[in-house]
Amino acid sequence: MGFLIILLIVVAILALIWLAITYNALIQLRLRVKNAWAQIDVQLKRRHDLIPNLVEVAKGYMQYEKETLEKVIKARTQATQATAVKEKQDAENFLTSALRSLFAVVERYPDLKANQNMLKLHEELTSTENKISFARQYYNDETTRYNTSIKSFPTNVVASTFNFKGEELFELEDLAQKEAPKINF
Amino acid sequence: MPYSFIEVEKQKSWIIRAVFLFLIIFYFLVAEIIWLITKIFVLSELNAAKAPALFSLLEAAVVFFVAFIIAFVHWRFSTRDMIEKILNLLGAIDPDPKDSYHQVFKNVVEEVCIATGGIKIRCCVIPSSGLNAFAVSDFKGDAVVGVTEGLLAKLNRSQLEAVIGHEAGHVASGDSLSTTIICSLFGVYSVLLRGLSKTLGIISRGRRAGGAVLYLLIIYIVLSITQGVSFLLNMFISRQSEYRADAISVRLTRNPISLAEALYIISRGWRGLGEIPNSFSPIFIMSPDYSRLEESESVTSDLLSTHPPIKSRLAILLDMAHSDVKVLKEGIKPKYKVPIERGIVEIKEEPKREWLIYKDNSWQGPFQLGELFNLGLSPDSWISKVDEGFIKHASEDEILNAALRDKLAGKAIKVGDICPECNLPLGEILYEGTPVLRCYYCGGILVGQDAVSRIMVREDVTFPSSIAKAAEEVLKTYSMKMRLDRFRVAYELICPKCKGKMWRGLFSYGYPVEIDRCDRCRYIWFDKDELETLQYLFERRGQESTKD
Repeated sequence: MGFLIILLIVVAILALIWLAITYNALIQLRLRVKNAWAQIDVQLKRRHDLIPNLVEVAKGYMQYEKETLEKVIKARTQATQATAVKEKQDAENFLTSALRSLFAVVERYPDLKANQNMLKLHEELTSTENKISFARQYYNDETTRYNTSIKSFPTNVVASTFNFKGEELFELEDLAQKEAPKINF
Repeated sequence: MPYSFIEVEKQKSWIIRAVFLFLIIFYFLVAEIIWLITKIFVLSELNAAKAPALFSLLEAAVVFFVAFIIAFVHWRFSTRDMIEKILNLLGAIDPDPKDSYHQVFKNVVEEVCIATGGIKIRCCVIPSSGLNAFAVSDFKGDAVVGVTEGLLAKLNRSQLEAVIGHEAGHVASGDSLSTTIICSLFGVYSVLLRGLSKTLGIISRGRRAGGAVLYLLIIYIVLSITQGVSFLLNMFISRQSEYRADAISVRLTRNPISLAEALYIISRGWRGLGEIPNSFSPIFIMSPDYSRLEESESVTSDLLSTHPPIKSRLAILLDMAHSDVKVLKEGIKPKYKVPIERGIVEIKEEPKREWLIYKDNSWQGPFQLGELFNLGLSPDSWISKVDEGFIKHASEDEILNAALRDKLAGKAIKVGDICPECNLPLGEILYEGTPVLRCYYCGGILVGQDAVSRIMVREDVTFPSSIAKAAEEVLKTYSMKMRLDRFRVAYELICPKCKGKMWRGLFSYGYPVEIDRCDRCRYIWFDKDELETLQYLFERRGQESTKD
């Protein structure tokens, strides 16, 4: 009898230790997801800040393309106002496509293309776009790891007890990019 | 990321301990051998009966203690400011914020840092036309990734990103720390070894051999052994880590094709960097000196080279992308070039010519401010502004009056640098992505020493056929010119930067274009078309060498 009690106590202690370790691991994973999201936010903000300058430079050369410029401005306003993940995602995707059409138009203006400020802004925006996509990649990686761990056994027991909820992935809605993946494993 | 920071920390301490242990053992063995030899010498002098035992534990302990101290001192001195020392040795410099290639490089590094989830990496550029990249890091967690100018010129953005991803992989996995430590610990030896072999050569020629030579010889042998061991140690860490860094790069950029392309381009080009000791090769993406060993796959070559053969690296990457070398070769497109007149970007626009001046009984102009002063503007000169249309004295105009006052006060007029040929202010432009000064009037270009090397390796623009003709002409007439000009030193122009004299001569014997060079600040003045001719010759030489 005494032996059984000791065994039970040992098992209980082990279970508690496991619980603590799992809980901490989950917390850590969740923090990493939060951190990754903050990274995306920083880059999105940077893109929003660049757009007024871009429009300012382009304005002087593109009197006949008001529509394209206005579309970019509108998309930017929408994007800055969005708060929820899903909403943000849509607004940012819209902004990306608006910017892409703007740069397609810029191609038609050689003077504007060779403008020093334009070149700088183009490089900055390209870099920011890349940063956004890398930040998104990192966020999605971390989120997938987190989501996987809260759904797999036995961690899911701890996760559901302490109310860890899965996070949404930040996905691309742009069809052109979806259809042409860089690699196919 | 496959490595969390904790894992990296763990690996760090493991490597540090292993290397330190190796140092202690190494110094212990050396000290013990030297001690034993000394004893044998002494023993042969002494009476054999009184001689102490050849080996004793106490002595060994003392020797060990000494070895420990030496190892510690060596460690402390070698690992202090590791990064700065290596950067100095490689001649790496910070990127130029005005240079568009450097800006792209900086941005790409930042992008990759974000992909790793927030590792901080500083970037550096090696002003060399070779193709290579390296990563170093230290205990504090500082990391530097550097690339050569040649690499920046030859790779496109995604290829560069893949290379940076590879280097960031070294940093993230902690490999770069171990290679940096080993390089700074044993880089010293290779220098010592060189010096020692010279000394030995001198002594042996002098035929005054004795105990000293024996010691030197022993040290020489021991050093050679450590050289070998450190080399092996490096390879052990380095070879595997190259594959691993390739894998991390693919993980970060999701683009194995670009990495394969980059590796292919680097392997086909010249990777050399000049006077860099062999012991530094592990920090580079591909060994700076070409050796056949690295390209074969036998067991010995596997043991004896720091980098895995390019073939197997490519094979792994291409396998990931379901592609093969043939497709890869076809996929590498030459860089997009524009005609030269469209490749120039003006940073500062030319100042307006808005002044007319009455001189020599006629109205002349319009001129810029700087030009007016060259024409001898005085307060009572009659001038007129083009868009205003009425005539006044120079002293009546606010801007001119202020400028004249400045001149009276002995201050230089702020018109910037002046063209040495036509005395007009030079404008700043981006030529092949690098900032240079150009005269609007005569088309001459003033270039700093380091910018010349950048312009020569970059190939953004195409040249009109007149440049090709001029270049052929230069090559044809150059041997004759050499004979005529060898002893003639002509100072004709004044350097716009330092106001020193500029010396007219050939750019180099390999590229015999005539240029004006300032002795003091090393700026070079190219008359119209001279820079283009030089570039044309350089590009042609490059094409010829890759054909072979």
